Amino acid sequence: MSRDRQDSAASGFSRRDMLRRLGYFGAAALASPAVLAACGSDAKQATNTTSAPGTATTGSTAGSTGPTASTGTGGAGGVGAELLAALGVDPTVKLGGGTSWQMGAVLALTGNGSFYGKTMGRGIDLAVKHIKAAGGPDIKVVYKDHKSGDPQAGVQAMTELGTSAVPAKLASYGDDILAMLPLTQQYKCLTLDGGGGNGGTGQSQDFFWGTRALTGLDMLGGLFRYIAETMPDAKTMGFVGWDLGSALNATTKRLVLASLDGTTLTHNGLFELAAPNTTDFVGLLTKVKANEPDVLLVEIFGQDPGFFLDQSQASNLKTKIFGVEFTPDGLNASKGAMDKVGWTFSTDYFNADEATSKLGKMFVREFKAAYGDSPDFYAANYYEDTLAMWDIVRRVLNKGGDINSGPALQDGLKENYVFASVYGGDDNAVGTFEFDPNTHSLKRRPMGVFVYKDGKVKTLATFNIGAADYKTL
Amino acid sequence: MPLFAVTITWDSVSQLLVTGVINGTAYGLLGVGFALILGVSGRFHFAYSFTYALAGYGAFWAYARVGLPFGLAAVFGVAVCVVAGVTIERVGYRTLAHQAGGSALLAIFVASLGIGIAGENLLRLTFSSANQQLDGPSGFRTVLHWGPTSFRWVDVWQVLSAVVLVIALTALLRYTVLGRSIKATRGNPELARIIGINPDTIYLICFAVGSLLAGVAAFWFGLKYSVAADMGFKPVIYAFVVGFLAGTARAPARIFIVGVLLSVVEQLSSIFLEIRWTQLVVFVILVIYLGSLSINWSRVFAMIRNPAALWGRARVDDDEEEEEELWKSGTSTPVSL
Repeated sequence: MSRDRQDSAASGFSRRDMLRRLGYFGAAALASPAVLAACGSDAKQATNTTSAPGTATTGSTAGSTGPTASTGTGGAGGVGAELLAALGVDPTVKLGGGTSWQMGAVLALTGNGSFYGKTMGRGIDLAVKHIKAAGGPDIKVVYKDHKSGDPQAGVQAMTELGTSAVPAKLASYGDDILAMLPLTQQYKCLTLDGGGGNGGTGQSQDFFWGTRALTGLDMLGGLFRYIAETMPDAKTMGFVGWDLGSALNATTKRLVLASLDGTTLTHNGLFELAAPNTTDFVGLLTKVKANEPDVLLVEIFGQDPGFFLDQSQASNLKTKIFGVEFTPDGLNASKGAMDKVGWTFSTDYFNADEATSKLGKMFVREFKAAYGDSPDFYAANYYEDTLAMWDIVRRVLNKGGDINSGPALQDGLKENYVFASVYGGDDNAVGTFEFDPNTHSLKRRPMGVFVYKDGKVKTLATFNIGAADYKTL
Repeated sequence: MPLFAVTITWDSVSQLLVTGVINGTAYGLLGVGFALILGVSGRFHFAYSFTYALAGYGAFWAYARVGLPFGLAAVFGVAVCVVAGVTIERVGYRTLAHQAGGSALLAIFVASLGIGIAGENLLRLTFSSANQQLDGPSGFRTVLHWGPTSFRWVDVWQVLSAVVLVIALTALLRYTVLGRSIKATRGNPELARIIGINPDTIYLICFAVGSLLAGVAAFWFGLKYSVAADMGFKPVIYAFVVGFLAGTARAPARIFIVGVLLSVVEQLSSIFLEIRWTQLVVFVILVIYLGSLSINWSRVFAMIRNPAALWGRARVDDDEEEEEELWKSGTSTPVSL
């Protein structure tokens, strides 16, 4: 046998059903390092945040550099009063002032998604500062690291929070892809997940509530209405998405196509899936080109939308592309294509340039003052989730309950499923999001169609889940 | 896995062919480098993925951080890759090979895995986990049209550089003393040593050349897409496949062509398969090839030419079984007795 031969030889379609099943999609999307992969080195954070059980760390831990003094309305006290006014909180009720309260935050502080862990932490830190300034409790945030979706790290983090009797936490990656969920329930730790939400089997679970719209699904009604109004000649739709496993792919296909019922669009047969973190889309684009629809729905995440759009320019596609995410990763990967031709996307995106409510404007202003740049949607989510926790604490305090009890806190949440949001609203009314009491997902969440071009995101249409309150701008 | 779920036109087949050739030059280049290293030194250099990524990061660092001119940055990136490859061989593999003796192949394979993983994480620690954008002069991104197909200038440069490098390596192996020394060492290192060739030096040269090829491929990849710590994993797996399919002792041109053909097959398979399955085609080809090695083809062909021989053999087998049954029943004794 020759040397190289030796070498060779040696080697029923209800909304609830839709939410439950497609929730996997959002969770899986957020699970991917690509979705959360972004810049930011994190060795220091890792050291600081994997604290020993019971070790409370606040302020600068996750956000890297803590928020600096407010410049908005003349100091923290001014911000506090402004926050109370924006939220419409009666200052005479018990706000929790003088009380110290522990809240966990299990985020991606190291690994591929560490950039987003950092920005989430910034949102939390800023809210903690504002709440204290407004006369609320001194919230001690116990930061823990799930290492960008490592289930073992998540379980360890939840164990530490549980044994320290931390009654509530903010989580991400769908409560670390549901690995933390059993312990969340065992320790009765009220959890809000504003990163991955609570899709799939995470729905209807005690103590676990998702504060994000379901990625790739909840926006479809509004998006299709936008297309009908602005592209009346568009008749066909194709789909490009991530390969998330055969079962989920089949469900995704069924539900996305079912969403076309009653719209002006029909499916042209194109349903192509690419592996997450694909860089070379030329082969896929060749198929799209040969079956070019009027509208192409592109449900890929992280850098992938940037690569896709860039290569679609070389392919000379005429179809109108709609994405479901916009991140700095995707922008960089587009190598200028997003700036040149624009990137239109539909999701629950927080557009810092166009905050509409007093609360939203204040948040943007204070975030810029504290950190020197505009908040992204993860910072916004975790800012408002921290405010929601404070709302729950106030409810429990004013009923004479125990704010260090997870069940009491969850009862407080169930008193009213509506919470203030930096999304939506106007000068007269704060925006809100609302939980579905059955699924624990969101029933209402301001979202819209947006376009990024020439360095700015512009809102094209706003609506709520299921195309409610639709408005073309 | 639907077949022909969507329309395929001649235009799209043309585009797939062109894309296959473009991507195939990268597969081929890496395959040539991998085959040179494995074929001559016997080192299963899995850390090739790390050195591949180093070329991208080197160019990115020199261009985006230091501000070197683009051409110099490219040379710097490739040079970093070469230095890393040679260092790994000199400091790591050679030492291990001398200490491990007969089990050197396994020891080096495990070590190379470790170096690859550690190196990837080192890159993450140094440059963060984020992908880095290597944005060269905009001219590289200009779209060119050729009939119904389109590609970019960067693709043209990639193809040209790959072809030039493979031709140069072929010439080096065929027409120079060094090339003959490399082939002699590949054939029999101990005999080469007897005639005055130092195999250790030849190994270093092979690592340098192999890393150079990987560095060039990595540079174009980084320019087309982005630079990431794990950017070398998939290309190196492809390099292994190309190397095994073509044969690690084969001429560079042959290995290169196998790489191009493999990529073309991969691209064309998307006519029949969904895009997500096309990568599997590469590995299916490898498995079929490896499986075919265990088949005695001369016997198969002989049987095809003379089926009666097969029948005759079956008759002999039947007779032996009958004899054995008689022996067991006590009515006969084995012939061998």
